[in-house]
Amino acid sequence: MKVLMLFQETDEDIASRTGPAAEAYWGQWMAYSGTIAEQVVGGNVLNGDEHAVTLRIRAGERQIQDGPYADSKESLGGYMILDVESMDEALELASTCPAAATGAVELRPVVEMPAGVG
Amino acid sequence: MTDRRRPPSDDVAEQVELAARESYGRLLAWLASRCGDIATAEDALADALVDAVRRWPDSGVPDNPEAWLLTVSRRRLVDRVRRDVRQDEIVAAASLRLQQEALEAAEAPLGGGVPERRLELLFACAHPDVPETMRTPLMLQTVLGLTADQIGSAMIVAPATIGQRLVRVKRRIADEGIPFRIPEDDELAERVGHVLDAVYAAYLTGWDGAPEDGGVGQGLAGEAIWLAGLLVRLLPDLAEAKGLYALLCLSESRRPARRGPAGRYVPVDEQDTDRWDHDMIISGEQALWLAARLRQPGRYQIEAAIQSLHAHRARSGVTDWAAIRDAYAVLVEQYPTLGAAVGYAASLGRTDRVTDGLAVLDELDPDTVDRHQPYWAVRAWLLASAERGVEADVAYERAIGLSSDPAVRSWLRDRRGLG
Repeated sequence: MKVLMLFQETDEDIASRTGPAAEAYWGQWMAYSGTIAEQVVGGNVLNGDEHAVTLRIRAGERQIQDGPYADSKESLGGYMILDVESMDEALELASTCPAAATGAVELRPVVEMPAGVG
Repeated sequence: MTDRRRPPSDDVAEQVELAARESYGRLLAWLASRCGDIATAEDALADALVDAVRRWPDSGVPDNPEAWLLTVSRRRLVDRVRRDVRQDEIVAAASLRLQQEALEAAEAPLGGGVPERRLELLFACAHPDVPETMRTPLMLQTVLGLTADQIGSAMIVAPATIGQRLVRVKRRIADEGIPFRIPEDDELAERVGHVLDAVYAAYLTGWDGAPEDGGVGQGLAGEAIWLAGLLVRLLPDLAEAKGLYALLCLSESRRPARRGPAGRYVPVDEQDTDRWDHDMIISGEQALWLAARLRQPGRYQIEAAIQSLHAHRARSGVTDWAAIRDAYAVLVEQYPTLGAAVGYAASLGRTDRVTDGLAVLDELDPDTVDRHQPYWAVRAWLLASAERGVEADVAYERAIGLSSDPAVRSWLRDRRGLG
């Protein structure tokens, strides 16, 4: 099964991507992704909330606002798609994620489309 | 009205919770052993607890809340069994007889307190027909009344998933008639082993936790120690129950010292011994001594002896690594586990036998060590000691990636920097 793993990172986490803490920040992510490389199908690092733009169309009117859809203490800092046997395995892999200790890791099973759809 | 014994209602809720915590496992064990069905027993007990919350604000908390809960939950159990019998028209004769017996037993008068049936319940939870991964969750729920949220969090399983698995395993126990009884002598040792292992597994869920979070991060360590203590009381002639209790006390005694200034991780041989919990050490040492007097050696006693050797540093000022290595050698030979092999390898490295230590690690199955953080941490340190820097770096990287605790990660980073 495919599972989307969303990394909710704190402002401090995202700030430490540059500057004196950068080496520690990227080092732990490199080390972590190394341990799950076999199960990772893909993924990306995302810029913080201040770079987000959200669009809605309501009654034919476009509404564009700066910032993320969901206002929360954490930013969506990145994501990975895992190929795993079960949610148990995905949780186990998420349990050593650096974002888990400061922010949060959300796991979302990907819907398997029947053949011919999409 | 005002002078009536009527505590405010949240006080009652607290009283119910207190009575439940103290009595839950005892009441459930008794009810489940009568009807052979944990789920039905749980429902009956839950009904009684709801009754208590509803009635106690008006009637006052009874003098003996446990006896009250027992009476009400017995009545509820009878109601439920009767209802089930009526609903299910085609009840197998055997099952009917069982239910009749349960009814009679539940209705029979009972003197004094609740009879002790928790040991029988523990044996049912750790029965060979119960999947190994479900034994610990089942014990935690039935004996301690923990919720699926609490159990799932500690065991890294989604609460809904663990909830479904608990329902299935309880049904299996009822359907297959897994007995609530203490096994005969010829199988007792093996069956007790399963019970002890499940309690130890509960303890290990809390091992990585940080101590300064005040309760958070300890997983189920407290619950596991409580269960181990219960087993010591229920099985007074069994040395390994005392061995497990000693192991848990001695390990737990060091929790306060596992963090230094600024939350830094401190390994066992560098910890400030003044910060060890010395009462806990004494409890552990006493249990180990009482276990040794029974002259039934076993895995948990050896593991406790190793922790006791670490504890000796509080008096001697030095860690006797040679003695620890010799104890690990016995453990690996008689009770081989991954953890024992990794501990043995580390102790070999500590006594200037780095190559031997690496040889022990090399013999382990690559699949089982793949995600075992202690294996990679010890391997990295041994490789660095053997001046195999490039390989050490790879192993450090893996150990860092497998650590869930940021303090351990930065400690490993510093170590790698030294190599």
